[in-house]
Amino acid sequence: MEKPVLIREDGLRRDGRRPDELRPIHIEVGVLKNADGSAIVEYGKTKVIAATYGPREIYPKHLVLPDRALIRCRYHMAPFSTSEHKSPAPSRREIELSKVIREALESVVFTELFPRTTIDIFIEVLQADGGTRTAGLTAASLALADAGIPMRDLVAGVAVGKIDGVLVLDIDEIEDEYGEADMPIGYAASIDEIVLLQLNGVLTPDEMKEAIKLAKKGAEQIYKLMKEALHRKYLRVLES
Amino acid sequence: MDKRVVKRVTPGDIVGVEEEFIPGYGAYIDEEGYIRSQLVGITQFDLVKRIISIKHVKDKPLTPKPGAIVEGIITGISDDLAFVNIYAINEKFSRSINFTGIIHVSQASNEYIKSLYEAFRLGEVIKAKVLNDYHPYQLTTREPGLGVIVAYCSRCGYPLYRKDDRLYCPRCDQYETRKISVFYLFRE
Repeated sequence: MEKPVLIREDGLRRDGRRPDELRPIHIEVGVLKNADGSAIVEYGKTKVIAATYGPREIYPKHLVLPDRALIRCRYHMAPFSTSEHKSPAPSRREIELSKVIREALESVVFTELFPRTTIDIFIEVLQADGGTRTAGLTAASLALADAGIPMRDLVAGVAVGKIDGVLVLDIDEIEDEYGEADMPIGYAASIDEIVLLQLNGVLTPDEMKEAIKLAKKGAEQIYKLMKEALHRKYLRVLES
Repeated sequence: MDKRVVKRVTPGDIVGVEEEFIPGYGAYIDEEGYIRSQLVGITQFDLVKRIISIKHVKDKPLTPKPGAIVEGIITGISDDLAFVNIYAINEKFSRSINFTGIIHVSQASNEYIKSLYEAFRLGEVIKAKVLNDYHPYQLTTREPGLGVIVAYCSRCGYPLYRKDDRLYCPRCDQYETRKISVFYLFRE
């Protein structure tokens, strides 16, 4: 396939967004009955559902940590989530993303409150259109909050990319495929901490600084929507 | 900040500063000295003790704590040790609870029993108290309210009925000994 026009002549992107504009975002928490906590997150056409269980007993028992809870995370793409059938077996990429998402969440969860237990997180990508790991991270952190697990902050995930030399926010699949760089970021907005940062492609040091600034701006918008979703589900009725 | 209004908070929200309050349940102090929420909930103030805590809006994560009364099923038993699959903590079983507890023969009854088989049998439902704070949970049934709440006949498997202080099987017309809780379910 030929490279499509990523930045149009009027400076907008393929889908008509400005470079610093997010896709339409839809967030809902507490969507699953059987999970202790759950959330569904949509970034444009990307749809991700996350469920958490625990703190519960660890099996196999040799994995127990005597001083804190073990966090286990599974990021998985459904076979029907991509344009071509994807094997349901965990790929190298999914194992890596499970690890980076787990490490991002480990840095915000108070695991020492639940020694010798496990907190299991399941992230299922229902439809993939770029930014699945960031949507997955957002969904997982909301699911943990929904389960009532003590956390230092919520984490919002957002990707910054470079397409045709322009830094853009929240890139989709086409922009990722034909762009020059893709940098997903997990950002805890209230405590101002970056808990996940990866970079695929090349950015100059100046571009990097600019990209982080842009990502923080985008993550703050998502963070607001996450808080709104939690208020909508649980806190509206308590208004006094 | 004199007026203390109840605030609805999500994790990471600032609820106060270190100088004015001590963080209680569901609150923590960050590096800059702000007290922040750990949970989705509402703030609660104790102005006498100067404690600020967060109250859950949903069920909180349930793990057995010392002193909690738990219910469980005997999943393994020997002369001196029984394994219990805990399904409810303080009569709450709304979340997926599944913890293992153990009962030693010395913690089963106030009276001397030679073997744990005199107190429980496999598959029976018991009420017990938690003694420690970590897995595997040590349990005790040395109180009148604790012990079996559902027991089955060791010969035919029929549920036993409580007659006075003993358990009676109407099918086999025989009595069995158990450590019976005052909350035993089937009575004559």
